[in-house]
Amino acid sequence: MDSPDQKRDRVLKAALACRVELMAYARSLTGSYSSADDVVQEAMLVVTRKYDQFEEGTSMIAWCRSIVRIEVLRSRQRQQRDDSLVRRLLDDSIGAAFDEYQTAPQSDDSESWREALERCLQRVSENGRRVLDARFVDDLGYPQIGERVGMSLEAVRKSLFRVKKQVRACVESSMRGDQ
Amino acid sequence: MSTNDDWQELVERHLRGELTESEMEQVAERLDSDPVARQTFVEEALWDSRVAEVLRDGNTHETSELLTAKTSTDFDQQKSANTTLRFLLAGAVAVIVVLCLGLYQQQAQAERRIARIEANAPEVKPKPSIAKIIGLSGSLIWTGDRGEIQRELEVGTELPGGTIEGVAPDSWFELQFNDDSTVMISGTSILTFADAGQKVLRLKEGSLSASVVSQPAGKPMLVHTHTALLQVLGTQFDVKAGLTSTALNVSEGKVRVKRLSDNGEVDVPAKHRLIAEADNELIAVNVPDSVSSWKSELHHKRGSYGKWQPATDNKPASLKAIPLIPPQAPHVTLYLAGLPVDRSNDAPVVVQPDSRFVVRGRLRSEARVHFGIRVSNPNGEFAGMFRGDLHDRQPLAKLKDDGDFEEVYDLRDFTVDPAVIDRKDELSSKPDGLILNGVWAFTHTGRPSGLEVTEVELIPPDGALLK
Repeated sequence: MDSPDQKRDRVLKAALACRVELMAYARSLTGSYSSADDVVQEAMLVVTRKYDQFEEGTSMIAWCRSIVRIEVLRSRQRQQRDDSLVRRLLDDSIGAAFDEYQTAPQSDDSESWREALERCLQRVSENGRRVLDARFVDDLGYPQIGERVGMSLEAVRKSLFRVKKQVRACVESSMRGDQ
Repeated sequence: MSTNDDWQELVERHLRGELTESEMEQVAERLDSDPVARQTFVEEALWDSRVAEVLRDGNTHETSELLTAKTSTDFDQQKSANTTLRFLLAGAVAVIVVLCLGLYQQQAQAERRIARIEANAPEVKPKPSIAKIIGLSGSLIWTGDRGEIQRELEVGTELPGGTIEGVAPDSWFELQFNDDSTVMISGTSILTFADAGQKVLRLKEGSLSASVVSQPAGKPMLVHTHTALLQVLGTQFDVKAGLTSTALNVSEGKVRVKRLSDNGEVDVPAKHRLIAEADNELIAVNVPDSVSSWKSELHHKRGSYGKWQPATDNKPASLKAIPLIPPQAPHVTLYLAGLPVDRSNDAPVVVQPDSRFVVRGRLRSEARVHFGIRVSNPNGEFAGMFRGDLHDRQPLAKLKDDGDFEEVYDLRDFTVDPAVIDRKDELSSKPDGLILNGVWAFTHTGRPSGLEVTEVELIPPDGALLK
């Protein structure tokens, strides 16, 4: 049987392995990368404190998601944000979708995915990369990206869509071992 | 772009908090109704987060430059790249030192954070109650705004808001707000309710009736449906919401209806009804006279509980019974099919004394077909549920060669449904003269019975004509 320290390490390691998946869930609830990052950090602190409440044999990612959801609500409370009815319904629908379709990551897959993604991003044109950076790193909206890269709103939309599709196809092909 | 591409773009914008309220509603509805959309949503969110992580880490940019340097064959470029590489390596050393310091600080910060959370973080206080359950029966699920789910609800339970879902045709739920306004859902309905100084309800689907006391000036009760927004100052009404239409009957007072597709508004006065859908005229009309006969129309109405099977060349459309586990008897599995009776689309259907219900359908083998109805008062208030079968004494349905059956249930044999027996003093003792809202048939054979309902008919007493 594990000592408490061993259990804590094991639970923490398993929780940290789900980080990107939890970011995906937190972003779906918060609509912001930085807020999601804060929430997931807070959730990891909760995991550190409450690791002994994790029930062996149950789903680690589902347990972590429930913590993330509580942290999202705490965060909204701190910001004194009242949720609209639509927001609450959407949260429920999102929760159900993740319960149904999100699975725990396989560690090998995550690493290969990341490597493939890094390789494929290198193939993106300079302009495409600027659009991606503006959207994913600087969180700009279409009009602001248009101003930055000198493109119309529709051109930004199409460019972003095309580049993302290209990168995704490249990653999936790479994961299948085509490249 | 294809529909799928549009959905991906909507999800992408959602992840950045760029959606309008109506787009958020659209996302919620699609998630609720479409499993492929749910799966795509989760995949898109994960994919987007992976890309964001990698781009934000900036690894690819550095790797790209290093690779560019490595693959270059030009000597000058190589030399230049090597210089760049040396700078990069020197930079990397500096970054490592900074990272180490950062990690040390982060660890200390994390410890301080934990200490702060443990010592000072305020406990999340339960939200104050806004309403109390004053009646319920059948299978119900309440979801609080913290995601907690509760199936074991009791009369007297105080609720801070949330979503209540009736999951079977015999489900009903009555809620009393702190100002004594009451709302009730029945059958398979989903209602979200909140009151932060103004009552806001969202009837996602199903039927709701309400008795609303005068609301504060400028803060009418709001009832959202897929197609309309109702503003209620103080009145009695019942409303039925579907994906494409909202049907409202007002018994007392006045309700203002706004159709969402064109922002058209109309006031619906007492004893009037209105159907709000995209392609009809938005006019309140007098509640029509009642009728005393009714027949289900399964060829174009899918029912409220069960698996709808469209008509084929040699079989009429049917509603196949699906499992239902009653909350009061979790060891029992019933096979049940339920149908709403659309009072709002047509004249109200009044159950006359001495009427008969006829249920037609198919069974795999002989079984008792139990039958129940739900009725309301003319003002829309829930009036009770009744069973037309003889419980354990109900004879086995006689099957024809092809498994078809026809069962008749006389109104004089109807008894109060055991699900509402504890409220029999408050509810009607007989369904006579009340408005029919829903019907259901079920078997209790311990295994799937193959029950399929093809038609339910209410036949008035001999000589009674349509009024």
